[in-house]
Amino acid sequence: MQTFELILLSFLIICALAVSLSRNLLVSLIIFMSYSLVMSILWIVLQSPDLAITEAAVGAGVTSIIFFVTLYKIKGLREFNSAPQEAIEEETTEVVEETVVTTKKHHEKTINERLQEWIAKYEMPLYKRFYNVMAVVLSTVIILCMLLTVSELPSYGDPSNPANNEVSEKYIMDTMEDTGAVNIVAGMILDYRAFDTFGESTVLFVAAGTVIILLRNDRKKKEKEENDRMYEPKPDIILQNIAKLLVPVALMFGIYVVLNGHLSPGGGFSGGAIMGAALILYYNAFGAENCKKFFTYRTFNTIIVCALSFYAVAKSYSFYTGANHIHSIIPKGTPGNILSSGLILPLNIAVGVIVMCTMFGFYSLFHKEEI
Amino acid sequence: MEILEWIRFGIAAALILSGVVIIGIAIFGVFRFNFVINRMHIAAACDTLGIMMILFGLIILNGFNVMSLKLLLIIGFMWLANPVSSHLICKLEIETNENIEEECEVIK
Amino acid sequence: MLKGLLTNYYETTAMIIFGIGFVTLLLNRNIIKKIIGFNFMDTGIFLFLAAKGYITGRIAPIVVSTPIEFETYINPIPSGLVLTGIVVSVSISAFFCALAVRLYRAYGTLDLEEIVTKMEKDQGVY
Repeated sequence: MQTFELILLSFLIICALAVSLSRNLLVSLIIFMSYSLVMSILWIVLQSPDLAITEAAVGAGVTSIIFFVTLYKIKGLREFNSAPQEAIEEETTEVVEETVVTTKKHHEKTINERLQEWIAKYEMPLYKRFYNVMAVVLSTVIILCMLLTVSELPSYGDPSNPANNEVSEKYIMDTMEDTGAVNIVAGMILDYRAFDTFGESTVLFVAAGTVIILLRNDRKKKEKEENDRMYEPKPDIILQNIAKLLVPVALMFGIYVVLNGHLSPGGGFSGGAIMGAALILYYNAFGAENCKKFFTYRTFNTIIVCALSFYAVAKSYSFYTGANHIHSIIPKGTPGNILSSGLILPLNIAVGVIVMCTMFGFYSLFHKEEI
Repeated sequence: MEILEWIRFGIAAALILSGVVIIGIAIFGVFRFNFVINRMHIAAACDTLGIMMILFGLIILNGFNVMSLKLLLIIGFMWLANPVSSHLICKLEIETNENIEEECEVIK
Repeated sequence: MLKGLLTNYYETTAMIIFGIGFVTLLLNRNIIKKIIGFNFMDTGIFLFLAAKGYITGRIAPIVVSTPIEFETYINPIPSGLVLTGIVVSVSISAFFCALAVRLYRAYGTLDLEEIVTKMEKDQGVY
């Protein structure tokens, strides 16, 4: 088991090095996707299946899709290399030519003028080299300090670590009685610490809002961009027939993961990402016009605002009754049923719906600048 | 019955090992070929076959319960999704490569 | 020091990935590479946090038998923290990519040095 973990960890480091050293952008994105997948395998080895599902759906799925569609927008899918050195060299050769021309006409130059020529000619490359060297030195110092701290940390996997104190004991022992949830992590993030999850849903909402401000383009008559390097694919009949089979299956699986959040690994975030990915497949197979039949901008707004307000109102009721020691009327049910554990099931559904709309909205805004 | 257990273990081990070897041959082939369409062909075919062999080996190891049904569903999903994505990548390559006439014949 | 590093090999790898992401963020001139470096820093920190919650020999925090004993499950708290972090990381990446698309539309390139040069020429500094 230890050899397996060491092989996976070294694969992670090699992927990270390969991404930062490669020149082609498309290659780095593909390696980043496989890095995310190996990371989700590592979460399973570390006995956290919630994190594994969420990382596989959100990290290897939606983040990579957003990067690919960004590449599509900047026309970089075919040839795009990073760090060409041509622009800076052109300017330095121009300055050198001017100084050669002027010295042919005047014989003497004052020290001030020569100093200014020297600064104008050598300033940018010196500054760049200084910046590169200082960046490498600074990062090495930071990494060495952190590695020194890591070597002093308490041993990995020790039950007597200071991190395993009475807080985790209370969470493990009391979650099933207090909340009725079988999944301890779901009971923790949606009942004891539901305010943090509310903040996270708000972060998603704000991110969707800013992407709408930056990218949405609702002029009736759009100017056509130059299309000679962007090839709009015609709808493909093989993809359409297979999508008719796969999209309902993926949606059902997403709904299953959301509804079973308090009984088994999963929950709102991973289920929402799976449903969002199914909708993205539908968008790709059938085009934007077919998607507008059931998912317009108004639907998007209504769903997200209603889900967030419902979360806020439901959890405020819980806070109010808990703080004033009033008995709350939400039933807890028997642990192990689907309709149990009080408010966790409705909150999971709300979070899942928010994540699904946000992921689909990101893709649609990047692709066609409208929802 | 001891012998039945050993036969089951042997068949499952042979299937998993052959799946891993097939995927290894696919990796070797991806590095040796020169053109994109050749690489795509070898990667798509060998990937799908290798995944089916590995998952069949796991089904035989597991016995006859609900988890084997879930593994069968995974095989069904991979067999639908993998060829379609390879088809789309090859189609994109044919449409966007300017020098496609040098590499193979394209029937428009 | 080396013995301490080899016992906590998860945390060491997490810090190395963080460092590689940081160097990618500083030294590359392309904006998309900087965004990818940001994501590497994020995932390195998540690996560190989740490794702090693991206890050898115990299973995942889902109740399997009714008299709950404390010694059968790992620490569930870092798991909850990382779950929030993964979703925040994807929101920030999407926001950065939207900014990169707008920069490309305004300046025609994604190279940060050229963008700064063009910006200063527009404002009349040089």
